[in-house]
Amino acid sequence: MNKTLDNNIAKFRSKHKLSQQDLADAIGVSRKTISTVETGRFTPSVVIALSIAEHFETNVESLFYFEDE
Amino acid sequence: MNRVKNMTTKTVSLPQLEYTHLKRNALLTLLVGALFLMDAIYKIVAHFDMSASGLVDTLTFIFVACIIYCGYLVLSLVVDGLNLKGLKKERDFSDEYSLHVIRKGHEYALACGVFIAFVFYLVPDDYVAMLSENMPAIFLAFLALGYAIPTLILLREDHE
Repeated sequence: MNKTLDNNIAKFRSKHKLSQQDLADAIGVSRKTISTVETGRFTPSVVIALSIAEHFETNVESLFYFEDE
Repeated sequence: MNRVKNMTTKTVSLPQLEYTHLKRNALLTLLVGALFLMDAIYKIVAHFDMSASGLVDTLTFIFVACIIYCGYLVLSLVVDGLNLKGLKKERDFSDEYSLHVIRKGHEYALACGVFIAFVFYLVPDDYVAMLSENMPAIFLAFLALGYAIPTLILLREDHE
């Protein structure tokens, strides 16, 4: 499989006026986890993806998508 | 969410404390690895009688400085351990990225261990006597540095 994952977390954060630390505290991870997920350096588990989606009251597909799509 | 207070009474989340703890631990491992490596270099330099080069004095100074900083890091890790009752063993960390970094560190350490073992295997007979004395120190240094360097790179600070 040769697909690159991208995400809209930074956009959602900015829309909700949240810092990386605020989001990290809200879902129970370190700020580094949020930072590396946002920049695509780390692919999170389904649990984190769902937690972020739940926090922003959206679905996972709105947050994560394949770059070539 | 589980939150604890650190030494400055600032409230921080457990995953954030795990991140800090892991970083300190990696720094300590880096210094310990450097100490082992310097010890081996020191003995090799002594073996070839190159003490007049000034390298020995420099190594001694760095060695002492490393030991002092190691003492500080050990103390802060102990204080962390006493203050943070929620802090678990590394393999039970709650933060996903920290766990990922620990796993990567172990992978690199294993690769370094295999590499240096292979190098020792290929060493010509002339150097075996000299190396056999330093082999444990060099091996431990490579294991420690193989864990610490990738861990510190993966945990480097970045800004929003």
